[in-house]
Amino acid sequence: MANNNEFVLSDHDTATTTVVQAVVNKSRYLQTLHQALEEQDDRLVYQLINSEKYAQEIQQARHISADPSNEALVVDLHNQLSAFLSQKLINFLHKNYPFFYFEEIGEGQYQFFFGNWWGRRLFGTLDVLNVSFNFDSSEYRKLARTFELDHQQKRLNTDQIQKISLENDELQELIDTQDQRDQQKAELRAKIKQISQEKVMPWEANRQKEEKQALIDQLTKLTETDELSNNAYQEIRQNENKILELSKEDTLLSYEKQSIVAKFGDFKNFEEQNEILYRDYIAHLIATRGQVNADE
Amino acid sequence: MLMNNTTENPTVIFQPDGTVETVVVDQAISTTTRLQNFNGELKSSLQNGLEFTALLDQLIQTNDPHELLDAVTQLIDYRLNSDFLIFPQQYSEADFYLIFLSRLLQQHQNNQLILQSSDRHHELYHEFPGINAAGYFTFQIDAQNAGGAYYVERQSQARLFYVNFSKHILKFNATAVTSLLVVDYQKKFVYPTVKKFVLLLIKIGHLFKEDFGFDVDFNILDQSNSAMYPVIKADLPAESLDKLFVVASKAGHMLKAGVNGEAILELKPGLIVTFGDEAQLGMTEQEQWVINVNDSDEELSWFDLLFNYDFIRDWYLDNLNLLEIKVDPRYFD
Repeated sequence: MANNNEFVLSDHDTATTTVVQAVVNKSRYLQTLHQALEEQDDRLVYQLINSEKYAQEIQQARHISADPSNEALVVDLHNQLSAFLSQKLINFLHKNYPFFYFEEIGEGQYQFFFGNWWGRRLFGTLDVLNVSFNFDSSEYRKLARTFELDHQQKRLNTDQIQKISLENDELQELIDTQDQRDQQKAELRAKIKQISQEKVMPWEANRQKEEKQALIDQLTKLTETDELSNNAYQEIRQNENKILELSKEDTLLSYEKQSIVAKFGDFKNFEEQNEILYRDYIAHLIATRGQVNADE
Repeated sequence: MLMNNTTENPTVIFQPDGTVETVVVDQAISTTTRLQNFNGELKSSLQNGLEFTALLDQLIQTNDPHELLDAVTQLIDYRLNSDFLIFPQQYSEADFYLIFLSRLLQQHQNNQLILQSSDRHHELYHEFPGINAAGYFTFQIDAQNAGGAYYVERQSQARLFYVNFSKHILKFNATAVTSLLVVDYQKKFVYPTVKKFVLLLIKIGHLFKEDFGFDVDFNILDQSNSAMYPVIKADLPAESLDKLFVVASKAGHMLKAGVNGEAILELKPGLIVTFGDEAQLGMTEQEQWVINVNDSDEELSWFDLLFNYDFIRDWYLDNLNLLEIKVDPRYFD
């Protein structure tokens, strides 16, 4: 008996077909990914895990109407996927960015240093899934500035080093003139004493007082300078450490600059190359597909 | 005579069983006995002198290294004078060390050290051709340890090495090598001249090691690639290597970072210096900072680099309070 009060429910057969279709769809997606991983087809893996980016960046590749929602299925596998994809990518980067040295800091997580020299800087992290560098912004800015300053024949810290060196010269001067000041102070004290003992007429008292005050002021000033001089040694030492720090940074930057010039010619080319890294890398994967085995 | 006073005092003998016995020595020694005693003393003093000359002969003439060592160890302890016989002309203990060293080299067909005699100071000294008057080398006796002496350049008081015949050791001194050979001689002489002298010092070390089995510490002169020169500041602050990084760069050399955190300086192909603690250099787990010099011919030591590379020398000398190569504190202060 049909109950007229019952709402009209959707057809169970349709529901079955729909859900089965959806599961088949997801299952196919996972199957394709599975196969791509088994076959070491990194290119296809890139396409599967971010089809939109792939379609956008790889213009010559035909647009695939895959369902991006499937990609959510493997979100929790990103670290594992990153670990998988890193091997070929880092090999590629070694050739194209020979001055970057990668260090694994967790599953699928990589940071990289600029150069193999002493005190080399930690320069950023590698985003394997997006094939891009996350540069440390402050370090990156310093390097960019170094290239800008090149036209002025200057290094990043040239001005600052010069300023501190000058400061040190002045501090040294303070130390070196201590004897001179001691002598001046002795003379001033003698004069003050002499004035104090002079008997003068009442109408001259004011003038005498002023004269004495002027001498006392001079003495105070010298004593203040002495105090500065007392701290000078320590300040010089601190300044020397600062200069060392700055010189070290300049040296690091000059090595970084040399590395980029050697590989890319100039900073602009380096930046442009970074922009198209994803495309470049996928193209490389396509070009080397089939020789993969021979490569390894 | 003074002796008479003493003999008048009774001799007290404490017996092992606790009793005490007092004996009065017969005061009346006859003249004949006295003469005989005197003569006996003379004879034994002369005999003592003769034995000395035999040892001196041995020192001067023997071709056997062990006889040489035997002669010198006896001579440095020898008491030639007695109450009855004084020899007014004598060589000092330090002179015997010097003669010994010359003879040892001579036994090995090496005559580079010239044994000279100073009339002014009444002593022997060594001179090295090429260094000439800038090096007046003598031995200085170690007052604390028997059988020990320092090989010293007299004008600078630089104690280049310490040798001890009783302890069977020979130790070079980085401090003196630095002040004399790296700072002083570097200004006066070309490298080949100083290197020749250094090679002689190394040869001396090897002779003591090979001929007598001495324990030899070549210290800053050690040419072996496995030599680790320990620096006095066991945990070297990174700033000192930062300084090296900067000055090396100005000199056209890149200080590199090693995989274990050590610092590596390649001065030319086949010549690499490494700075790091012993753990980083794959030695022990100790945190003692060391310097290692690796050259393909194993001919160079830290000394050679200090002498030849201005930026390394300046850096080292500016930071001696941290970087100075450690020496054995028992023999060098």
